Amino acid sequence: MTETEAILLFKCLADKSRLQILKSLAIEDMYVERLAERLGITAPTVSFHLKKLSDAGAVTSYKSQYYMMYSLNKEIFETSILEIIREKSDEADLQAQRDAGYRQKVIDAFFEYGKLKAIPTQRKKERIVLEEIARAFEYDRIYTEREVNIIIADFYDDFCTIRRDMIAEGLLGREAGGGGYWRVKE
Amino acid sequence: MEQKITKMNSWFEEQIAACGRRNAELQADDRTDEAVFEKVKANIYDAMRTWLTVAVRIGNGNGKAVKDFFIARVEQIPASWEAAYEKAKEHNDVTRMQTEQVKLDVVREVRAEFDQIWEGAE
Repeated sequence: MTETEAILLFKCLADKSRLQILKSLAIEDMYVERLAERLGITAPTVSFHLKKLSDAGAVTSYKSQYYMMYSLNKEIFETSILEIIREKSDEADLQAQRDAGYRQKVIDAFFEYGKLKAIPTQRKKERIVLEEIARAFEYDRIYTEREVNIIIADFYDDFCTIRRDMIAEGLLGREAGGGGYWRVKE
Repeated sequence: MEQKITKMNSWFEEQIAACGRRNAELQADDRTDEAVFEKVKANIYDAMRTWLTVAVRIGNGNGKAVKDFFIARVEQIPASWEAAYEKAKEHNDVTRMQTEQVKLDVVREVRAEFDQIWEGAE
């Protein structure tokens, strides 16, 4: 478990309602309405807590007939706190984690449900946004301009600007004379 | 009309105070996320109270104008919350859904109370 994962889990556990949910799930797998009834909180509130627990890796879900059942992720709770403390966290890892965190923050700020809200004005942020869009392209494949436009249009209506910026940033390559496009390998 | 406005404002104050109490209780009980929802509710009650104050100023003594302005705000502004809820539902974004749901529930409650006070006192 990385430090970031451990912090996420501990933060998630520092809530009485979520602990009560986990206590219930330790007895048996349950669905949202059953948990709500047991704990005396509304079903939407239980769903809210379950999402947080699920994001922290504390619970998993599966479908059973009409119900989405939730169960305790026992594996994560078998990890001892001592093991978490002993986990090494060297500076390179921390830097990588900080970079990944920053990157995710930019993506969360500029994308909503997979759609780009606006092109960032800061170059560093725009680069991150363009890299995210570039992930929709496969390596070792030649795309026509129309195909490129269609892929980009899934993210943002002004596909011309994005396409040009992706070429300028070296994320997409283009054959001279208006030929095909390809994703440039990092 | 004065009586209705006073009644409505008192009700808003009671709701805001109740949210504050529940927020403190939930905080003390280490249920911080649910405590935040009480804060969100209090903010919506407060916003609605402000809209009522604006409606009274704009209505300038005309009860119907006050009512029309307030109802228009109560129906118009939450439309974006409704849209945000639907969008979140579409993407199974439970966290966002819960926040929007809390706001929409308050609006429905305010609307029902307003109708009762406004019509009931006539």
